Amino acid sequence: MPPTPTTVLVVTSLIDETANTVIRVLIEREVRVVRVDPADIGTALTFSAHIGNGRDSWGGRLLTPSRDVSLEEIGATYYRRPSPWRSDAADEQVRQFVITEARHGLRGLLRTLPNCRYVNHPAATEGADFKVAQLQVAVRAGMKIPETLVTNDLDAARKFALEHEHIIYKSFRGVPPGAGCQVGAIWTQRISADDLNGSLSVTAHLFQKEIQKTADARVTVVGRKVFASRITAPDGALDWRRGDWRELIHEPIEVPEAIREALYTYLAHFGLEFGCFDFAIEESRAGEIWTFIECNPNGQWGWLPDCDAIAHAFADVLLEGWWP
Amino acid sequence: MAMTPNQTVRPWGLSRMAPHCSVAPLEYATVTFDPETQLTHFHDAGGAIVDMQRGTVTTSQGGSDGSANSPKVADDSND
Repeated sequence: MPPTPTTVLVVTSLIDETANTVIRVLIEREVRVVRVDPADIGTALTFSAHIGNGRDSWGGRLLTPSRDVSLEEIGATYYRRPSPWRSDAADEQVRQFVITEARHGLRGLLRTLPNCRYVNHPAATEGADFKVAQLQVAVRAGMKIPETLVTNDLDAARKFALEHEHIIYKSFRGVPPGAGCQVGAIWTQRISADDLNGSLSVTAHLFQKEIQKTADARVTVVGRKVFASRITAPDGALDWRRGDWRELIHEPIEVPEAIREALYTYLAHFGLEFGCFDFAIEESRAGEIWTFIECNPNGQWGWLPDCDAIAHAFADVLLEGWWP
Repeated sequence: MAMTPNQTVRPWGLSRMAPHCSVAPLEYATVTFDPETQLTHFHDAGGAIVDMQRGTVTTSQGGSDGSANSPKVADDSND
């Protein structure tokens, strides 16, 4: 008989305060918590797992300096933000070998645990991470989306710019860290046809018709629970991430029923338990119009006014069906 | 009209980058791990506990979550 699950595995880095918030609730619920950062593989993290010879699922153990857990005891995995893989090997070939083998062997195991709920499953997070996929799933789920062009073709981009009064450009993933400690940022910004040139061709670019929004909404869905805030920036910025987050105004907002149902459909499509959705809100005579902007399947929520309730919702979803 | 793509062309998207946004110093100096609870605690240079709950904004260069508030790196994976 397989052992009764007793444990929530939290896969994340040491500097993840948001995970701490959920762990505190899990401790209140008296479930055992094992925190693991896969990049610690080595003396700080040992594992062994076996399959075959009558076993049709992986069994084995995971050992950290403070925990020793059998894989079958893990009832749920909260897959958050583990550190980037690392190796102290000086030789690049050795380093790459260490990292690649660990990714496949350990990460592969952590996403294949036999009796385990995942919030979210990393494969679901990866699939839902592409903005291109997000827009199609959102529109098919019945949500309004901004008219969007993805291209490396100058003529197509010019045509799109000329067809609309205002278009915006936004990068898919932002700017990788550069030399030194400079951090670049590409904020969502209005652009015109004259701004465009042939240097578009070397990579993919995303353009959208600008929504004449009066506010943004951040909607965090955990299981069936929905937490929504209307976010306004004091200067009415196009991209609220740009300013000081402390100055943002958060107010509770009711999510229209049709949007709520579409969010469940969206999450189910990608196999997600949780997602952070961004909407632009326009005022119209008929009421508010909600336009789906994007969904971050591993988004942040620790800064939201609903933080404590969201942490409890995570505990609910993690423990559902196996912990009293 | 179209330019010949080559490795020296700087992609158009990067021309839309804000020159750089300054990286705020981390609000903590060290992180400790509590083996009993599996929680981590953030400390300042003097060793005092830093409350990382909302109301603080940590801007980090990494892709990880350094605080209750998201880092201000403009990578959507961080929002």
